[in-house]
Amino acid sequence: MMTDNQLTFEEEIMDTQKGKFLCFQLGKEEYAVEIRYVMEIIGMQRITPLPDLPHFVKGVINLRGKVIPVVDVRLRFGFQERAYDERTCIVVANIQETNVGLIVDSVNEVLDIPENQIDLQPKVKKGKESRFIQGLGKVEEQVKIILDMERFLFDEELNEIQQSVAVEV
Amino acid sequence: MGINAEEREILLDFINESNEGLEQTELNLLKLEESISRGEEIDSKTIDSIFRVIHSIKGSAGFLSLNLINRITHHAESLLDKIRKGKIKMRKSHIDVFLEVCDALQILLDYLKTHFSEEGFEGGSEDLILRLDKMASTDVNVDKDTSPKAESSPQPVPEKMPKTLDPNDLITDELKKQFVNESLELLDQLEQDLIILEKNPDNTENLQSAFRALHSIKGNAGFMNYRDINEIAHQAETLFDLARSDELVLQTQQFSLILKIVDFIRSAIEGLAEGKPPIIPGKFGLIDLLRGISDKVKPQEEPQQEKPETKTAAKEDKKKPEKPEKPEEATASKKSGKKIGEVIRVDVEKLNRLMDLVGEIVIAESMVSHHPDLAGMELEGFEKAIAYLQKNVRDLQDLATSMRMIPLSGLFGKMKRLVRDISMKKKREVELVVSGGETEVDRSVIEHISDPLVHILRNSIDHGIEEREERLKKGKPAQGIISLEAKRVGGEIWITIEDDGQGLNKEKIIKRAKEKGILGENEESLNDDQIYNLIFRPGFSTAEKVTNISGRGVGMDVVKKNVEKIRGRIDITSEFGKGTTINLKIPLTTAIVDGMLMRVEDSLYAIPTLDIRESLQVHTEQIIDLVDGQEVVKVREQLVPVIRLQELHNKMGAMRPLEEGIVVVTESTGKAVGFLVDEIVGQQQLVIKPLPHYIGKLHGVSGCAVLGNGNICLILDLASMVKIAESIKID
Repeated sequence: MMTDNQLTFEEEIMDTQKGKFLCFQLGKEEYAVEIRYVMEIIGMQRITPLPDLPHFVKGVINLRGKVIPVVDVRLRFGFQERAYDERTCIVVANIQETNVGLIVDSVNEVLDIPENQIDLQPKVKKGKESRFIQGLGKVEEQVKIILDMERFLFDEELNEIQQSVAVEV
Repeated sequence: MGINAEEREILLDFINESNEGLEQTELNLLKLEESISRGEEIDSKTIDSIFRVIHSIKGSAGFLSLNLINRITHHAESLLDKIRKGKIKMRKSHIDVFLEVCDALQILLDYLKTHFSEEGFEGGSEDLILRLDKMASTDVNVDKDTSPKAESSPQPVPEKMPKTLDPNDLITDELKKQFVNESLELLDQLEQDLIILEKNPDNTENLQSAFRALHSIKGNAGFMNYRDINEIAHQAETLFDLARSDELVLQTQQFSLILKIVDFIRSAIEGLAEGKPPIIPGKFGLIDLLRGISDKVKPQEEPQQEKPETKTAAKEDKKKPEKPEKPEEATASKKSGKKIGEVIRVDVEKLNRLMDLVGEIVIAESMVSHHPDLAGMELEGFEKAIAYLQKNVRDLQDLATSMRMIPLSGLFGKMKRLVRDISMKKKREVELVVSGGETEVDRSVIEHISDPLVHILRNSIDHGIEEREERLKKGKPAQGIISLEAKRVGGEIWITIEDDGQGLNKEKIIKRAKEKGILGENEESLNDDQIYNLIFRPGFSTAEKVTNISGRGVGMDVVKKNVEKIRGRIDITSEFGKGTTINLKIPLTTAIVDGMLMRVEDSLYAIPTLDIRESLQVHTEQIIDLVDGQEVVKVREQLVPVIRLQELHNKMGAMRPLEEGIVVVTESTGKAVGFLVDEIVGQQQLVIKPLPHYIGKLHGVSGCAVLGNGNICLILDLASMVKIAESIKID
């Protein structure tokens, strides 16, 4: 009985979450991630740096006793680093059963972006970092850059770095 | 009380198991009663689970010659069977009588607990048995006293019928899981018995116990309708029955066959756990082989339920007078006496959660006691209260840790089997002498040391123990001895594996290490320790010819890695020609460590306190700067390389001179490494958390811990730190 209820409950959540995106600011552009990945949004925390990590992984934070890694989204995109201020947020995302904190300039709002408003093959400059982009969402006159979370967090680049570390050891 | 410790143990197990079963049965009966009074359909699964409990009590009672229990359960079973098959419709009066059965059994079990026999039990069960019989013989359709509601829904009965007929419907996943767990336990038991029996075929106790294990497996498999397991177990049981009645003396060869069969059954059951059907390939061949043995004695004989029971009783009677009470047994029985009725089974998951929670409480406690708001305050009463809290938290932690502890004896038992098999294959005579099996360690520790132990023992037999002729030539006894010993030393378990074989050949090791490029051509000046440690290096294997057991290149390096994974250490000593000793030193638990906290700039690091040798402020004259910039300090004539933790992070910045900081000297795997730190913060219990999966493995860091103030400290991985330091040459 319990599991039945839970299932339907989860399905319900999935349903209500569909088409909803969390928008955040990175410099002048607005980015969006699917809300189903977002666990919570917290203010800047004390980050414990770790050795041997790719430059965009800033270290780990203590989230109520859980130790989770944090990624600076700016650095991941190859943008200029920016000092953290009181508007800087950590978006705690859960993907592939892993919690990862994303450091963003600021968090804006939760938006509905209908499927037909998302351009999945946007004409963007074919840069190295464009592979993190899933598509462009149009909301009124604005364009939101939708992140491909899987790629953003688990792209081969990270694996390569890990492997090189392993070889070194 | 003419009963020895082992029999008492069996009896106590029986009492505990039965009590558990009866408790469950009572709940089930009450559940059924509710369904009946509501006029709902009766759940056939519930009836089956009651049936199973009663059946297994009956079986065990028969085996233990507990005639009264056996009789009551037998009659209850007959009635249940009719209900189960739909011949009798379950009524409220049935529930009453079954509850009475439960009560009667409970009283009997209580009596057994103190008297260890049914003798002298005064309590009338005849009336109960009579009523059970009467109900069982009542016609199916005498149904008049059921509640009107039940009458209005006569359909359930025929509907239920086909269900009961197809046994596969009855087998829930829960049952399956239970079957797998139980059977694996029984197989372990069986294996132990077989190994003892092989050495000492007259050991009736082990023969009985082996027979009982097989019988239970057979019975359970039969109930679950796993025909392959059932048939093979049956055939093996026949063999043991013959052995029990002294009509057959089992030979080594036959033990090998039976052990092999145990393996087949085990793999079938393990397959079952993974969702595969429990099929035993080559079943008929195996059965024929078994039959071959028993046929030699006399034509096929079906072991009858009742017959072995009477035999058992007779045998046990015979045995009793022979056994004078040894002091050892007396203490054993005292111990088990305390255990009566106090054992419960708990889901491992729950235990793990408890451990996690306790870990959180440890953190919370230090969060409170080290709260920054309290800084500089004079709080005498508060301090006292905190001290009290700390003491209790510590006790709670010890208790929770101890709950996850299991004795090593199970693991050691498996090693006995392994040594037996390998030594047979290698045609070496080896005896494994085990001691300290009662030592308890954390579950996770057992999981991690099992493979290393297997490997070490294999190596001992393969490379250590010589062949018979060679041993005799050297003046050693023909039979090699490997001793496997465990003991608790402080917060660690030390496991020692010692053989009296040929020992390690230093020249050979050096030669091999050079061949494999592990050692540079010109490196000669190694001490014994360093030479022996070469065998733990990846790619090293001393077997001159590669055998199928050891020497596959994945060798001692894997052993070492596994041991280090649980923060254990391994060292090896050897005397050429005399033997080799390997020591495993393993922390009792993998979850919590006593650590020394150190600050370097604004980062916190921790090192297990056990690994810290000293900390000191160095003087200028102790410092030696090497050409490549590596700093080394001289501590009482020993040169200790110093690692600056900032370098881990590739942080440059102003290098503080060594004299200004504190050097913490650690020792791990016999090597000293120093760390330059700014401040020693203090000693603390740390709950180790693995680094987030996302980050992967870092070298130099084995995990992290959350401190009371919410900060995270990194726990240094000394083994890999040593490696970093090793890359530094000391001239």
